Amino acid sequence: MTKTKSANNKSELFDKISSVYKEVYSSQNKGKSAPEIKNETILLDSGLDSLGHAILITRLEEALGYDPFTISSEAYYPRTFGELVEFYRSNNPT
Amino acid sequence: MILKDRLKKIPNNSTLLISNSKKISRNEILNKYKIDLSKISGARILICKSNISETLPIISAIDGLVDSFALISTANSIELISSLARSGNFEAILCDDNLNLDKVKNLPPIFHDLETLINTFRSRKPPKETRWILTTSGTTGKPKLVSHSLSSLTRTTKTDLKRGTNFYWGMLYDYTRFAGLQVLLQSIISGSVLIEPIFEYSLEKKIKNFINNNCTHLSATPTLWRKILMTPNSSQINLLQATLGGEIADDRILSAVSKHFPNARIAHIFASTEAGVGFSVIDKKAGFPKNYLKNPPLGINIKIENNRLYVRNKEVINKYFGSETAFATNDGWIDTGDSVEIKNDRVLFRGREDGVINVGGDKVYPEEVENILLKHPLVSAARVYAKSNPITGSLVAADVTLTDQKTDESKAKKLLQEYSIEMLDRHKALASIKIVSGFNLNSSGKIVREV
Repeated sequence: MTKTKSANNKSELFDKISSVYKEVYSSQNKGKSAPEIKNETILLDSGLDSLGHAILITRLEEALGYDPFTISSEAYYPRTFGELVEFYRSNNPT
Repeated sequence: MILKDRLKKIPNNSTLLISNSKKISRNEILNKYKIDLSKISGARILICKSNISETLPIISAIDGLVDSFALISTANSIELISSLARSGNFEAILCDDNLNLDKVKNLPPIFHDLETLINTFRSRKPPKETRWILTTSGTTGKPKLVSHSLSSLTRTTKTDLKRGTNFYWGMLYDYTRFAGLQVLLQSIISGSVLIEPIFEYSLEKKIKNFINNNCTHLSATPTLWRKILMTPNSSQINLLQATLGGEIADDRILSAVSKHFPNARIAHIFASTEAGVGFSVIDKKAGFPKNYLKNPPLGINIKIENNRLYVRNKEVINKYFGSETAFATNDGWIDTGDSVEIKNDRVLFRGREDGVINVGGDKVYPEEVENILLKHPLVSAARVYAKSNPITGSLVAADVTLTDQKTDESKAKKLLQEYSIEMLDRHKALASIKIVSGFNLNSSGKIVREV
């Protein structure tokens, strides 16, 4: 039961994060629409540079209400989109 | 000791440079110029070449003979290179073939190879010590020329050849700038191999090049380190040393680098083109120990006045080259502009005293962003500040009051964000906006700016 719930949460979170990602992508790339994102997509190859990712994390804080990079005691830098989603899931304060 | 003599101490035929996969030995560097070099004695040369493999034999040939040479990045604009050539009063320019300087007026003669250049000079008295001229970063105004010497640049360089010959340094900086030249000199003087990847390569390709060449030592800014950590193949570099410099290194990035490279010694360095290397910290904690104020570890004095950090390097000439502008007080103190705070036994960096925001190495003046915001009809007052960010160190954020209190807040935020993207460079655009009802004003009626 719990497993299904967390799986659902994860895909819900994936959708939420990818929709914010798409908005940031468009705003950073003159309105162009974002490419398809998968769990294994490498963040630095996803069409956003360092500044784009910095903005993504700020927007995610506004959209989700928390910043795992401040919450987590572990100094961690996700490399793929799936790792980013998992980092947000495992550090959700609620 | 001049560069040539330092290189002669390194075992014959050791490889000193891997440039775009080609190995270059100590002998090739030392013996490239077999001609009589004495004609160049006393000359003042500006060098603007993109490859270390070309520049290194040149500077090892002319150090000790010429009065001065400047190392200028080919990434600079033609206008800037020309203006630096004039302000430094150089007698000749030695640059890449494809650099379009030929059409610029009022420049000294331009050459592409050292042999041709030498033949146009008449020998004069060589200096006591050749001046090595570098440019400042120019992030706070136009880049300026700073005068160093090989001895001032290598003051903290390790020279143990027994250890050094086992190391492979990866170059991620522009070698003409202070941080890059530190890596270059540290590597070759201690007999290590310097890996110079193609400058235009993506970070992933550079890292692949480092892995293939057994890179053991890397130096980069915290922003670049964060990017390295986010690059999947980076954990395959077997690092023995990771150096962070150029921006404030916080606890998070220090511990992340340390975890990613478990065999590496982690050092963060405080340095500037003007002051040289101030100190290096190896305990993997942000800031530096308070006792550095009393006992500076590298001989550079450090003091704090009104929460501001000052450093003093007695070996550096305190005026910009070719100018009367001093960057230090008469007794040598340089204002770093960094705001610091002492907490327990540690001095911690709190940002810039002038409120300048560092976005991944690019500086942003809050006033510039505020002035743009104030031009928007929705805004009645604005305060711009740094919002900390795990990727770029900080981003630009603003609190604004609206001219009409009834405006829909989320709409206003969206409009102002779009407006800032349209009006400003990417790194200056607002990452976050808060609508507030008012500001604290100081006695002169200005919005209080907190550092």
